[in-house]
Amino acid sequence: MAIKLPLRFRLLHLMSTKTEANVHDLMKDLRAEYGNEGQFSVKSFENHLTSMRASGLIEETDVNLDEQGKLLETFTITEFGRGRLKYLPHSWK
Amino acid sequence: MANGVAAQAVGSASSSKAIARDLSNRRKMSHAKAGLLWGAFGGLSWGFAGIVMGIAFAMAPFTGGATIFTGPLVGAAMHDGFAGIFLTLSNIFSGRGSEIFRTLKTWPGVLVCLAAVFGGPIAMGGYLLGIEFAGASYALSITAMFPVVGTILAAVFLKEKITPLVWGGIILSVVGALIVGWTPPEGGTMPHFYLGIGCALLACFGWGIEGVLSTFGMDMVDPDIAISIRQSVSCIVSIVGVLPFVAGWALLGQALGTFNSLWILACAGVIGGISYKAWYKSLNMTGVGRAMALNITYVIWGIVFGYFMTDLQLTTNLVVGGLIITVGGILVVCNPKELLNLRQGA
Repeated sequence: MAIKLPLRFRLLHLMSTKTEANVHDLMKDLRAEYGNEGQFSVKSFENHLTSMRASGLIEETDVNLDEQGKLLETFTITEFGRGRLKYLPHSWK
Repeated sequence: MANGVAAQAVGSASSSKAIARDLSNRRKMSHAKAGLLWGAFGGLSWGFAGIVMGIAFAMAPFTGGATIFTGPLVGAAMHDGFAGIFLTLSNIFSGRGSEIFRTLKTWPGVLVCLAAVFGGPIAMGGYLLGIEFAGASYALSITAMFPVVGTILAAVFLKEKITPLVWGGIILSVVGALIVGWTPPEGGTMPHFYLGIGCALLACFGWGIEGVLSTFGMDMVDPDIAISIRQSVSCIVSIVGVLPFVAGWALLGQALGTFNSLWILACAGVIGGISYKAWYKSLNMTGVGRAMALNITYVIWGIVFGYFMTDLQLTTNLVVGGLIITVGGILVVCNPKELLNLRQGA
């Protein structure tokens, strides 16, 4: 069984399996793994994504407003980000 | 009519897109500015932590010990220990306690541990021994050069974009720090002066390497988690791997039983822990070069707090050096748009 990854690393891995995703897509996919933890919030996920974008691991492909008029950014993983996947534990490769 | 409705819909969609684009740009800018603020706060709080640590180190039992090395090394290990406990508890209370163990099982976690050894036992030990042997002025000014080492390593290994403005800021900050520390040797009172300079250089490289290793790790790990690991590992490695060589365990036992200095060191540990957290956040959010140039402003704050809290006398060197560091810091922060994308090709 694969070990549980730190959330930021798991997000990078999940992004590598998708063409693109927004924060709600990612939270939906990770609810079973991290849903009962204090860090499982839109704010926390958005912080990780904003930081990963600034570091060049992911890039935005689209921006929209959701039904409540809140910003919804869609991201995809970059080649630079894919390069970091080689540091994944064997059970995740 | 149908065309009019369609045109209105297209207009509304494009206006909503423009609002979304504007909000997205604001979010990026706010992230960049927050990184700069964390960096500046890290410098301020480290200047304060240094003064509080200095007060504790001037008290028993840190003034004693088997060797001249013992007091500062025990104090440094205890500082990191208190900081580690404080940061770990804050992660547990914010629902991220289990992230610590997950991180330790991964390669980025190992990098953070390595960063802890370079920045903790190696650099902190070198810094404190440098102060002990060469005097605070020289040790502080040499260790203040760590941004140059860190920035070069970050450009090579992290592909960090270092603009001419940022290089200018870093160089000015270092020059300012050198001027602050530039006082004549105190002659016979410093018999191990050059050993102290060597120790300070070791600290300079240790902190430079720490910044790059931890920033690499924080690409994949939450900075709040990374810093609690950093401080805890630094404390454990210092106690197990360094203190036995300087008969430090005996002094550690005494220090843990001496409430007068223990509570001051605990306060320094909490302040230092908050300061390191700010530094790690800024490393991740603004890049190694900028974060380190802002962290160096601890020299200015060391002068300010030292003036009000200790018997530090203001000299021309301190004022001129402090002003140059301030100009360097301003150069680094004056164009936040530069740091929306931190890495080459991003």
